[in-house]
Amino acid sequence: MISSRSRVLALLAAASAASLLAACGGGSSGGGSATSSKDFGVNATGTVHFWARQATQGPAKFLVKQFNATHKNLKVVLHLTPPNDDTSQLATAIRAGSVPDVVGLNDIDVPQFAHQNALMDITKYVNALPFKSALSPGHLKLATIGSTYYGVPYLADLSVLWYNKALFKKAGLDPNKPPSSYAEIVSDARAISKLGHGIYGFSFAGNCQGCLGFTMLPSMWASGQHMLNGELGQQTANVENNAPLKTMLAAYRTMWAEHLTPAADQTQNGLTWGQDFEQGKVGILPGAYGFSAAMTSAQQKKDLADAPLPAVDGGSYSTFDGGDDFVIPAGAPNASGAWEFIQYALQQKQQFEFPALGETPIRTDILTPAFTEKYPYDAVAVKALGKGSVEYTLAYDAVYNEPGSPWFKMFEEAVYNGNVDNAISEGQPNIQTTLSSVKG
Amino acid sequence: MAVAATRKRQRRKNYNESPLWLYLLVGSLVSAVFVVPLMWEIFRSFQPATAISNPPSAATFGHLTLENYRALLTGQDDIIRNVVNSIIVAVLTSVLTAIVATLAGYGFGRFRFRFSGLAFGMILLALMIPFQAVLTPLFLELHSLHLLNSLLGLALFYTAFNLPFGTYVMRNSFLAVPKEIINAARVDGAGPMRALVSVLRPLVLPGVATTALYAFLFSWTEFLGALTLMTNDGLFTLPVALSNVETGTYGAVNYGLLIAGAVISMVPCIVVYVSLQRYYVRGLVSGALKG
Amino acid sequence: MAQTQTRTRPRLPVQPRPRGRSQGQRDARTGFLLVLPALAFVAVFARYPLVFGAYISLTNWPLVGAYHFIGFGNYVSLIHNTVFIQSILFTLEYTAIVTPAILLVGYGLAIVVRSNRRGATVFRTLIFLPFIVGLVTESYMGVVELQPDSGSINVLLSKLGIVKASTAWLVHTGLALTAISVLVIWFASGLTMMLLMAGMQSIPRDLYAAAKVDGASWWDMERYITIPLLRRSIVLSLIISVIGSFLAFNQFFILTNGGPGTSTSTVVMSIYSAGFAQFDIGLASAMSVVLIIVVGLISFAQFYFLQRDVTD
Repeated sequence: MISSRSRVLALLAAASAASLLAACGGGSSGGGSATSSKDFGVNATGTVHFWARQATQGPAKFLVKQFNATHKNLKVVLHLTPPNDDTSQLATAIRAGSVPDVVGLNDIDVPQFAHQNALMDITKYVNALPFKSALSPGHLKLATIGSTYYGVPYLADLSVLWYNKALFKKAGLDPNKPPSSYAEIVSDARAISKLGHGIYGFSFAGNCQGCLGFTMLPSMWASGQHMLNGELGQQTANVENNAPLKTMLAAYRTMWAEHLTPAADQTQNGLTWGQDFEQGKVGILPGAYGFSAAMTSAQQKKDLADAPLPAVDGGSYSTFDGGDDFVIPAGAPNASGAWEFIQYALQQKQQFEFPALGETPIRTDILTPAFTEKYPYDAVAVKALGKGSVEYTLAYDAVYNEPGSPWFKMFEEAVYNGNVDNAISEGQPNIQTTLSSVKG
Repeated sequence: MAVAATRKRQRRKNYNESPLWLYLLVGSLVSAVFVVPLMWEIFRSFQPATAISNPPSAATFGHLTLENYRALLTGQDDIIRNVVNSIIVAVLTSVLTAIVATLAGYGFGRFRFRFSGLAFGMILLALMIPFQAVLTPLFLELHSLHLLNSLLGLALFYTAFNLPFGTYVMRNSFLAVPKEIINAARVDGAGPMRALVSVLRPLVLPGVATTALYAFLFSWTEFLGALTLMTNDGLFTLPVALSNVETGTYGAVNYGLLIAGAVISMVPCIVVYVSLQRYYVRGLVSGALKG
Repeated sequence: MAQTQTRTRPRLPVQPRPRGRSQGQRDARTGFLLVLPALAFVAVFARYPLVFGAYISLTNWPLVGAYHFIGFGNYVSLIHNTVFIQSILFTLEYTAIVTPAILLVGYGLAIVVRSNRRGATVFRTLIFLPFIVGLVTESYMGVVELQPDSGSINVLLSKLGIVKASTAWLVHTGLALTAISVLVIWFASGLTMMLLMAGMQSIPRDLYAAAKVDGASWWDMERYITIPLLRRSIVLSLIISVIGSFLAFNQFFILTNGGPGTSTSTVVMSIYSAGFAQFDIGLASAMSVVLIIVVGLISFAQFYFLQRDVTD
């Protein structure tokens, strides 16, 4: 039966650089390539099997259609993998020895596959890209081990701070000054909640651990801290001494306790996340850029705006580098064709269309005046892309997204039970235990 | 048959059964408990998505739309193909299951042979396997059998998982047949297969109908297996295809589309269910005995 | 004179023994051949993956990459795995709640719909509808309708004064369990109804006629005629129901995701988490083996104790 809670909400971390895998052998390490470097990814022929995630199908379908229309000798066949099975489908395909040529893999999953040598090494092809420096650093990092690239960024799914300018104005706040620190978020939320009549200052997906990670972690990163540090497979958790984390949890607790957020937030598991904001009832909502797809009326476009997620203590901003990376599984039959397709997808012309399809491009150099004019909401996100980051780890799902995850336990203890200190002191060992238990 | 039926009707009148109006009242109330929530959800499928996150109010009743259905039917390329796939797999599964389960139920129910208890237990074991647990081995196995990406492979897999239930039901059915009938058939010199086809068949038909129905419903709504064993989009069955459309950019489920999809999927199931109803006619047993 | 069947009439032999050994042998062979196809299906598609899975449980098989044999290491770790143990207990609790309820409700429904009166077929269809629609879709419906303030269940119940409108069912363990249990009972009773009804229909009506002549009340008839003769169907429903509850996953995954914390996490959710979040397929397989053993034992016990007359 269907089990499709979205992992997408959970986290698209890291952009993985799409590495060109030229392996033609059946082994799991990069084999010799049948085509020389110069011909690789140029005028390839045959079929390319492209696996994309159902959750990000917009650009995938678009790219495949456009590519097939403009390339006579190379045909791309698309297969969409469902929300909770994208990694397991790829993993079983690898075990069975019949892999697709290119996969738009959820970036947080890339380290696991790269670490196990299941992906092709495409370092030299990525380095040869003229626009390499414009590729989102966060996404690329997730596909990097040491100085080897196992993937390349494909699309971004970024988090931003949404706010309602009309409500700001009504509450006596400056609509052109979105909150730039957590202290301001709380005080602005208070002012807006005073308006009453079903209007709330703040909203969050309180039963969706993935959503929370997606929207809270960037503020911590912008304040200079990461929660998981160290080499893959031997990491340590940074919770106890993580002042920004504590401030954030305390802020959420305050807002929840003072009823500055709707009661329904406690059960919001992501299914209808953002709807209360889209209907003009909420002042501030950390959320996904993708909510803009629902802001179609003139009124919404006028009242609703986004801003980068601020650092907890102000002075900077960041975003969660969610999204997908292109990877070429080791042993892919048509790696050359795969790289040709990947290059096509990374061109400015194609990336420019992504916002209309619900995703964000992964090139910082896409931020031209034309882009800003056409996609004002996404322009804010792309601006933050340069400062975006991820939690570089093999254990993202286990620590953050899974049922009963230590991250969520910490959140519940702090926000709903009101014990911030306890949450932190228990969170440190819990997260460390989970971190160490993931197969490395 | 007609004679028995008439006698049945006559017998019923002697029964002092509760008056019709009372029966209909009670029955309606009971059925309402089951059907009204679904009807409410069907109504929901005609509401725009914004109505869902708000408390139902008088205003929401006004704005009805076909948007969900439209989006669903145009969202997936060639959804008819997926429907056809589902039909093929479901029919294949229910027919295969019915046949194999009936044979097995017959064997377990009316024949003695060594290790029959053990064999029955082995078949039942398949009922207890959580699919999530055998995902990887199953995929690898089917890959080597070249049964991946094939509707036949999927149907065979579904059949195997419906056999425990079907066999159990059919075994019960055969065990419930009064011995007099078996013996009568034996005395007439019929071999076991003849006996099955001509004499026993009408008596075990309710069991066969139950087995076939269950198998049909199972394969029509099954998702995880269809998803894992098919990587060719053209072979997707309906639930998988629908989920592609229903799951939006964030994997968040579009509730309106989900309900609309459920309504669409419900229709063939109800058709099958209603058409199998005639096998549940009561009184066949006593009719045959008296004859 | 009306005669009651099985109890008082002398039994005729099942198979005419006088035919000699060859008949018995032929019967045995026929029987075996009849069950062979089913055995083959199950062996290929269920038993092989199971055995393979059991093998995997003795390794540290990761999602991707090489694996090593580690003997019973996974099983030993389960003893200390409090989350896993808690999920077993929770699953047991859940099963104990819904199983009797489904049986009782299903039985009551079967009584209503088993006749061929006017309207019975319609009622049957309507009651069975939730089963047709499927638990997954209904779980999604539940997510929406159980939302505080906006869900129609809250609106309805608060208007009736039973609960507060802002009850957040799905984030409180007890409330969530209640809501999910009601949902599952509503969903599954239709199937139990069908199974019991099919069984009730193969009980000859003369038994009832005779009892009526003897002055038996409706309840007497149920108690002394229907229920005993329905034993096999009852056991079938119970076993299906228990196994289904033990393997519960979707409704919990969708409605509570195991929360708050892991208090509504079932065994299969633990398996899923071990396999796909911790990438430890070996551990997940070990958990599955434990689950299957537990379920197998319980089913066997049910079968044995409740259906002692397995062979007639």
